[in-house]
Amino acid sequence: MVLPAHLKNNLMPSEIKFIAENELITILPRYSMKKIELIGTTIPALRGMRRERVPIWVALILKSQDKCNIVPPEWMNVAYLKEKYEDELKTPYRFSDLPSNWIEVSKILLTKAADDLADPSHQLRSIIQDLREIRLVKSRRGLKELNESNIELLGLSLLEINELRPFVLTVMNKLRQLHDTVKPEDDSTNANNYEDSDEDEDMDN
Amino acid sequence: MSFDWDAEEDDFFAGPSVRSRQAVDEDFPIPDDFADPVPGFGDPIGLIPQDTAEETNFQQLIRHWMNERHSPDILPGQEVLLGNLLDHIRKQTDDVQLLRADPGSSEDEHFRIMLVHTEIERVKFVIRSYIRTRLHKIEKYARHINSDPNMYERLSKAEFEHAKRYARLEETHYTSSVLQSLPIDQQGLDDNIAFMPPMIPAPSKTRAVFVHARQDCPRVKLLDGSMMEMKKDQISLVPYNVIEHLLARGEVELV
Repeated sequence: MVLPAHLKNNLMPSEIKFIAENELITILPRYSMKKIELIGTTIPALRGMRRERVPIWVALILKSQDKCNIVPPEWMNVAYLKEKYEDELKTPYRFSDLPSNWIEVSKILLTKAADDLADPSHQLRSIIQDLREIRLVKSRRGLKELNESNIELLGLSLLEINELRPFVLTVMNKLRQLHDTVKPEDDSTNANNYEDSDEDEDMDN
Repeated sequence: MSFDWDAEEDDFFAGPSVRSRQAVDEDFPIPDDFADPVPGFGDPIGLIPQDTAEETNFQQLIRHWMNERHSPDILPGQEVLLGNLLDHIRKQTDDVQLLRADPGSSEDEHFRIMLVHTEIERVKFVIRSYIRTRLHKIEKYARHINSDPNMYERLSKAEFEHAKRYARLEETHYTSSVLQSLPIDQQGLDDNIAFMPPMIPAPSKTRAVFVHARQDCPRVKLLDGSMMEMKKDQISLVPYNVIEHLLARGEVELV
């Protein structure tokens, strides 16, 4: 009741976008403004045509009023993303090192600031879609490795994790229940061990 | 908001155990006395050493918000952090109101006010979501909180009072609607029956969570007895109890 059901076990894509909007991005102001001290950050003094770094949400407000141009991040162009796509093809078991919020940021920029991007937006959209698909295939393939104890992931973005979460958590919890039932004698000793080790850790602190 | 955070902080810090916990939680490499709340203790941003200043109050709140959202257990409440942010919000809101009331302010100033106002709403959104997430868990585990003294120190005074009241309401409701018409030996709400799940739901600490290492972490023991070492920025999916202590020290965050 306090927390609506759809928020209980997972994040909403809009919440992930909200988090991504706090990241800094470079803008080229067309407007002068004095410095503003905010709660979470400070917007530096803006002067026409001098690059400054501001949170994305500020950049979007400025952009919507035609007060700035957004300088897209260096990975946000077709050539770089193509290269990453090739990397993804070459290494079937690893993810290429894209920024941890590349999907969110690229989506925001494509919808709100398409005219500031270096390449035509349809090309960017298509390469981003390709990248997303190949990474999705890989992460699904990686699910074969899923077991009751742990799995390591490298280079997945928050949004991609969020997509996997409902399925992966359910499966892993079921696997663990099965595992615990198969070895009831181990289970009881294990449980005790963990309680103990937790307490030890607390005391170390 | 009807909470009076300032008053609450004072009560909250009456117990010494909370203070040390707070210092660990914030993972500030600074002397303990920093965590001591001074009456009228304001915005600490200027006091934080340069290397930790990178994570602002708001960023910390977002991290704790995410942790709370993903963790199956109730995490220690971030009273000081919330207090600071709420003070800051109050100050900014007053400023905005003052500037808005000024008829002489130019269009540029209105634009600046709008930016400040937008940010206030963004911070409020996170604070609300954080508190609601905690409330959700507190209501879910109200009866467990009442029976486990370890839970007390993780809650603020208001949260703890709420848990107590909620548990009492729940029990009264069960009794008046069903239990009173049952035989006496079937009326218990905390019987331990062999091979049955416990009657008081407790957080399941073995639930899997996604963790992101904020720094290189010491090795942890996994369920099957093997060891796992997490390098900075590694993301793993592990049972919550494996990384519980790393989370308390702020070495990992949940994603």
